[in-house]
Amino acid sequence: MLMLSMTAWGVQRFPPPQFESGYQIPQTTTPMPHPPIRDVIDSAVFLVALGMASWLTLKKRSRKWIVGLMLFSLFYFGFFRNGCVCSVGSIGNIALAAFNSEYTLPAVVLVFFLAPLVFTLFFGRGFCAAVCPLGAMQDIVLIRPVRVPEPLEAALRLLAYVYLAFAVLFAATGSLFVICRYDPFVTFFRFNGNWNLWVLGISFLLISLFVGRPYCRFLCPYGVILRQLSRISRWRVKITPDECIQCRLCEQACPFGAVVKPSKPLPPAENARSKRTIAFLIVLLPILAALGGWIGSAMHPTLARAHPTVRLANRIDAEMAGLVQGQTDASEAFRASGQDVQLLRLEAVSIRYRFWVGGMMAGIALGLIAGGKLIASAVPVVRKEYEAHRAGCFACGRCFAYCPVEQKRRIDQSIMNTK
Amino acid sequence: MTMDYIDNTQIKMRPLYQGLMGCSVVAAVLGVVAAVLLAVAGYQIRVTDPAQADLLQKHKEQLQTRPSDQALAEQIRQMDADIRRNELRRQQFIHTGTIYLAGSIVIAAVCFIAARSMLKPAPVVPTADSCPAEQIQRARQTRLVVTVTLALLGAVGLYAALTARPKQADTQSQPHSQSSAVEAVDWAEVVAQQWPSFRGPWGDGVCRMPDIPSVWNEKENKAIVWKSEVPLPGFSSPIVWDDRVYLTGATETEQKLFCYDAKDGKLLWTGQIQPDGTAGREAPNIMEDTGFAANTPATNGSRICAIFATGDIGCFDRDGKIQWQKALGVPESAYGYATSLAVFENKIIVQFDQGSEEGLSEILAFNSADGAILWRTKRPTPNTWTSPTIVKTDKGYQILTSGSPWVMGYDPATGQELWRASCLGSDIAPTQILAAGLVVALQPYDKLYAYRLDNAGGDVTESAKAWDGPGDMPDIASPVSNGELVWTLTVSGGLSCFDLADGKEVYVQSLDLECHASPVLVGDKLYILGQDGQMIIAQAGRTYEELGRNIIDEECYASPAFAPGRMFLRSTKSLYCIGKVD
Repeated sequence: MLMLSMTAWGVQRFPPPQFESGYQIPQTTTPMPHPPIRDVIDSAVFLVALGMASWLTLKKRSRKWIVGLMLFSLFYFGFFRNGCVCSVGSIGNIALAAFNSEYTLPAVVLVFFLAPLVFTLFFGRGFCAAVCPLGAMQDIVLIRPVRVPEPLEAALRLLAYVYLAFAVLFAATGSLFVICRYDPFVTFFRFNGNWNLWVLGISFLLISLFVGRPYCRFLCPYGVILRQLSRISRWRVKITPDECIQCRLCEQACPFGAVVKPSKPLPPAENARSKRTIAFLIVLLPILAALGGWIGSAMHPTLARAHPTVRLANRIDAEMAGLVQGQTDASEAFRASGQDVQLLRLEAVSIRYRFWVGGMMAGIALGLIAGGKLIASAVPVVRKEYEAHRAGCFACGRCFAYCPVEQKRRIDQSIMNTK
Repeated sequence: MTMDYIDNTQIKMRPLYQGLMGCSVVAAVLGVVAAVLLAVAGYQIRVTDPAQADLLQKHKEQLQTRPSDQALAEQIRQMDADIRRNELRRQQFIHTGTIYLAGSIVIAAVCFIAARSMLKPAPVVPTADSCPAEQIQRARQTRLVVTVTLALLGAVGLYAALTARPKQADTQSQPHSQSSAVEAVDWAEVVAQQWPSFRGPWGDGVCRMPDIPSVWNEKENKAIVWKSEVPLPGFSSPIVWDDRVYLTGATETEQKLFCYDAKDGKLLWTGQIQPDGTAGREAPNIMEDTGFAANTPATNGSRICAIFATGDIGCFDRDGKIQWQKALGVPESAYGYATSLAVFENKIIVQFDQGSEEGLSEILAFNSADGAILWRTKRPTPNTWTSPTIVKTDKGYQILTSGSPWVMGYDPATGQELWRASCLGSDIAPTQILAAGLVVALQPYDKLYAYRLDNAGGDVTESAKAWDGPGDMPDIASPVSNGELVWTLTVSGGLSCFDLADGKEVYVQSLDLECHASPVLVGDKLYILGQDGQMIIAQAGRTYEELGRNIIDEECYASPAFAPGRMFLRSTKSLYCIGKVD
């Protein structure tokens, strides 16, 4: 919150001289749009990278190659393309296009949004493993992974749902692309950015030294979607290429807590208790949804302040009522334009209403998701072997080398190759 | 099978490993140095902001008192140049330092990863199988932590919601509105004391304002506050916002909006909407009984919009400056297009029903500020003469419309059709009303229908029908209701009263008036305006009781408009303001 509030410091740092100095201030120029071929190239590179990531994680099963592709993606999509277009940020474009017919969605954005979803649906989260520059940035600095306790991990993951819900709300109302605005690593990609973003990015990097991919696990709104698709993906990463021999060597391999242990059936008494808990939580579900909807809608005046029109209307009214001193650039420009304050207020009212509806929907969705998580935690699971978590596995390939069966496969393969 | 775990100590002694780790450490140290230097530079930039350098500011203030002091001016220039030079140097330093920092991070990370990848994974000590007790414990802990997190998130949300209550600005200080608040202004509050469109804010002909006069007489000059000439003919009704009264007038060659001062009747400005000069546009075939200005304008306080029988629509600001104008094309209307505009927040709603069969009609919302079309929805109706009305429900606002054969509801935000009910025949002019949760519409000469507004959506012809009742239904005037009874008024003066609960006729009273204007409910009184300028004031009850008659000397066709303490009547020649004369 402190970092977010620091954006208020963003002011013009270099005002023009207040007296004649003979210096001619150059005309402000608008950069030309980049040629369309660039979008085609980016889309092609992206699709090839996704294909390679899928092949490397499912067939080649090589952490080294995955790291190689990860570094390439970090360089190309991160540093070379300055982190834009980005699949994570494309959520904002998609939400805006869905709710605003006047906004034309660029084709390249659609590709960056849809392609990872399709690939995940078939091949698991190869995008997270080796194509996403944000994930790569965190993955390469992971030195001393600390295991996050499972309950805490489950709780922190709720933040990503909250972030996704409000990111969609802000984008759909035309307020701001919050995911892009607060992308923690874009400052590194562009060597540019305000102080807050540097602090944010460096903080994430420092945390990433010890907590594997904190942004991906606990905040990434795109990851929320990928997690759900990964649960039902046709093929996905397996720790062992063959049958699990229950050696337990892979237990500590995953820095993201995505290796799940075998588990036995619960005793009958505990099973019955679980059923009662689930029944209670199902009854609780609509209450959570209603509560979330109420809170979400009640937050609408606060949320609506993210919209420039609402901010301006508030500011103008505050100035007219003498609640604040002076004028902002926006209020000064508005007054100079001669536009009608009443009209501005009415537009602000209309926007607040959209936030009321959107806030309620977001709240209901979050209430249902939270209830679903509680229910899921009460459902007993029987698992016979060690396996990568269907949703949580980033397909980074770290666990491969820990598996003796995999080691044997590699040795067999090298023997075959030498023959 | 033998495990291939080897002693990593040997690998760590290799020069390549040591070189990579050394490189990583050196790069990391350089990165830390770069980060520290950047932080220092950033701090310096913040505290020595050129725009806030105290000394420079002080010198500038001195220069204002001594503008001819050239030495001081030169000193300021020099100081300003120095500060700017330093600022640029620091910015350059930060830019370069950032590159160094990022580079060192990348090098440190790459070397470290490369070195670590040389090591073989260390064997781990196997832990015990996950037993049921452990699973149960973990599940409980998960539920507990998730619940706590939920509570925290909920608390943050609640805090945001509770602190969201706005500061209430002094609305009296807002020159153009006495009726808008800073935050969360509901449209119902904005229009509570306004008459922004045909038959009031909700199009139901109910005046909810105080101190409306019930006795006046033009011959005796009693309660006539002022009377002003209306320069052009028109059957449209006046509308009122704060201290302004607006009405339209038009001929085949002129289309005008007139703005009067509500205090003294002075014509403040006349806005003209140029007839569309599209080459080859056919002259509209308008019946004399309809005229070119039968459509009542609408205002949201900021913009005043008018539409005419030609399909030309335009918006003016409060000073009479035209903001935008559009030609929708001459609507194909048997008697001439007469539908009034509706207004909701920044949206001007146009029900553009035309053609002898369905397919041409639509309903549109224009942004009152710039005329942009916010949404448009096709309507399954031929030409009609009813008007759209805005209503407020428990679930939000709706637009109601009537046309052959559908009574329909739309979402004003998106234009999406919400529900429809089939009940009407052809040639519909009376506008529907909402009363006690029932949408009341009528088929001329035939029946009165009531549909529940709280319906399931879609085609609710059968499911939402509350009742229908036969009667002598009017073909021009719209009904009015007090939530218990509903009244209709025919041109020949037939006043019918029905029970809103079941549609049964309560009484029929023949008035000695010819009526074109729709009746209005003011408090517990019905105001019934005759063509000859007489207005009957009757008790709004289960039996007909005439309380009085008032008269002006000119013919009246338009429905009255209201402001607190005042009523505005449009005659064929004049605009009257009736109220307490100071």
